Amino acid sequence: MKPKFVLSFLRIATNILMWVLIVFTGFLLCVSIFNIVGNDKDRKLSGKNYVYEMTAFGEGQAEQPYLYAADSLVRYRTMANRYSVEIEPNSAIGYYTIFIKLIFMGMGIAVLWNFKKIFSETNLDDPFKYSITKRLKILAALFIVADLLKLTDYFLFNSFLRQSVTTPHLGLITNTGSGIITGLIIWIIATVYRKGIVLQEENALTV
Amino acid sequence: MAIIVNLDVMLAKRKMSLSELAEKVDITLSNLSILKTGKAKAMRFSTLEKICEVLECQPGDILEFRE
Repeated sequence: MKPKFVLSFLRIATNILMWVLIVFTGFLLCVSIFNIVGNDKDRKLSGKNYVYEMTAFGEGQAEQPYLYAADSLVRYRTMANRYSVEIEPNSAIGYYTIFIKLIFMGMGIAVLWNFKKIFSETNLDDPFKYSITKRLKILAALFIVADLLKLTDYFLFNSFLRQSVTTPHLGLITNTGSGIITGLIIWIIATVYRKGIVLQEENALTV
Repeated sequence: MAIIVNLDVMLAKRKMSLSELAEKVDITLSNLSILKTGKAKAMRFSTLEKICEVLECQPGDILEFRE
């Protein structure tokens, strides 16, 4: 596969993804405003709730037995400690939920916008540019901040929820760590890339 | 501390133009201009050898160290 073809594909893909995410974020914002404004004031759960999948731990739930596939190569079981939690949009936790969702979507748009700019500025014949290094560092920061935010959200959301639901001890299902690792890898690539710029400049000024 | 390129002095002594030197040494005029104006970060031995050969001088006549 030719690198120029891959680059063209990435340019188009990031552009499309970014606009899809912008439209989706706008849609979510409109729906959230409509939910907050349109819901009746007695704050009862309606059909327009935010749904979260959560896990309960420390409850000593009995584990379900495994069921085996016909060839015995695969086994499966139902998870006893999984819960679907619905949150009323017109409540403190509902406002928090939409706020954090919009922040994550905004960060997603920022990540895609930076990737789009990187791919549009990349020229395979003259690859090393300061603007790309800058964008790579912004990307690294975005990935790390997003992961830290995810971790903060985990604790905040759980503490909010535990004010309403005391038992079972619910915990948000989240996966943190990958963003920090991705961010650090991108930061290393940006540092190596910057060294490449210095070498390119030295090469250009070698007579 | 700096390395000074005295290419213009040698060119004046030999009554040779920069473009003529570029042609004889077989490097681009822009590269030679980078060298003459002191913007160059490095110089290949092969380039130095050719310049010395054409200008009939020593490397020390072209390059000078000043504190």
